[in-house]
Amino acid sequence: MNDILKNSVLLLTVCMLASLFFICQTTFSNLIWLYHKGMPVSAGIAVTTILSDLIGMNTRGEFPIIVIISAVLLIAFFAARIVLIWIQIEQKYLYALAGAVSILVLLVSIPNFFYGLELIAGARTYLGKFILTCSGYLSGYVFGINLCRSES
Amino acid sequence: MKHAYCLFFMILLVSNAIASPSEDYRFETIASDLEHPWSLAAISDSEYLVTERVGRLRRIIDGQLDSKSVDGVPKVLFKTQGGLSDVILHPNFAENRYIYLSFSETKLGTPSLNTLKIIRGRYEDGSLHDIITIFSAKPFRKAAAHYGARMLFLNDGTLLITSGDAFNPREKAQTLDNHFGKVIRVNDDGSVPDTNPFLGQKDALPEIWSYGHRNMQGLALGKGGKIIFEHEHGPKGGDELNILKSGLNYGWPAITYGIDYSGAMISPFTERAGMEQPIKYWVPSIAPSSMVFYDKDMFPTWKGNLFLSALVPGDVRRLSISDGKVIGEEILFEELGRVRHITVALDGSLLLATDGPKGQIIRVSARDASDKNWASGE
Repeated sequence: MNDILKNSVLLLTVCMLASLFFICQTTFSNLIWLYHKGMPVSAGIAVTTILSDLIGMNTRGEFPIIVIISAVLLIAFFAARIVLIWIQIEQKYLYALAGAVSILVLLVSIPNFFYGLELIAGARTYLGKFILTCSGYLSGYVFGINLCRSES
Repeated sequence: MKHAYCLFFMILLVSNAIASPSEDYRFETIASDLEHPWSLAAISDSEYLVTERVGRLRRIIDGQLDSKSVDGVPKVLFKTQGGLSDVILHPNFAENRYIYLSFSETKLGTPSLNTLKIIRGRYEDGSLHDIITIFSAKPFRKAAAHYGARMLFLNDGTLLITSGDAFNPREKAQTLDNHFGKVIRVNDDGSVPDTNPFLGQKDALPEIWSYGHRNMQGLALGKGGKIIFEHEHGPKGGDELNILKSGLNYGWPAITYGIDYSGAMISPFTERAGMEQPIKYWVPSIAPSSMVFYDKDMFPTWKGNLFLSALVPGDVRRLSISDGKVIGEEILFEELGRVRHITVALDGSLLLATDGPKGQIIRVSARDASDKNWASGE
């Protein structure tokens, strides 16, 4: 029971971490472009925009980003857990791979579900997709490592 | 306390002054079961042309929808927001019979890409003849969205075309080497007028007339043709009504009153020197879909007002304008739902196209004293 609770908290933490990456990447991709266009982007504006996006992308959007990411990572980690029964591989790498693949699939799928529209602004470029996929990898890696520790 | 009373009465006075009484009117359905009607043009009091986004150009003659669509309309891309869009008449239509159509079209040999295209054709005997391309937006886009696609002839005979930002590459609205998020100005044969603001400028396309727009679906000339009104869809909030001027930057997406559909900020800025402010904006969005300036006599108290059709929640906005500022707004025709297009018939009645797969064309006329079967807005 204690392990289930621990793992649930771990999963939630990892999902929050991935969501934070998503939001910050979107915010910065917007702010960097604005800065290059000569808009007065200061450190203060960057901080308030990130805070606004943290709230906005979870409350004001068409979908709460943390719910989507949590659902995707949950499915990916569950699949990884099953794969681990048959394949001998360090689980931190498998979870990392699962996290990366799931986020990449999410990013590629969104335009297919929404008429070719990229609803995550930060994912409109290949670089953006790569960075967000890395966030999935990192989240899975953190999950895998900490799962290892709690199980050992 | 005295000041509070004074303030209250002043507010009452001002609100009464700007909300002039609405006219009595009645609805008359003149065509039904149109597939996604997008635009209509009145040739005469008895003949209208209507575009269906699926790719058909229909005729309404003497109150009857012709079952046969107009021949010669090019194949369009009917997908998402794309399809056959605007139809307008040449200012000298009576002599040359030219009509202009805007639509989305796939790239030849590359169906994953598409663009906004404008053609001109001679409308005769229920067919289009002598079709030429007037404008084709560059570059091609992937998503079938945000075409703009509205057209308007100015008093000098040049044609304005709204070319939307294509959704995904929205930042391109701020650079002049492409047609995304731009108002285009061409002559009636598609050539570039030599008075265009960016003509001869390095890295700028010569057809561009103004930039920094999003998805502009309304264009209207004000009284005497001196003021050009333009409206555009904002993202989540931030729909704008602008006064268009040559060579100006309207800010999108560097400044906006809206946020992204994801809930993220598109920009923390709403104003910036060198970028134009809207004369009105809507938060939340009303999704303005077309616009017309009313200058006829059928509805005397509406004369000089702007009418905007809106898709969300679905109504028509009557805007009172004074000195280039919006001083009053009235919501009309809510019972009709999503209104895709509004225009004025030659007799001064308003013609509306309702949105959807079973769209209707509805005429709004002044109440006739002899008409006993209707009440205001019925």
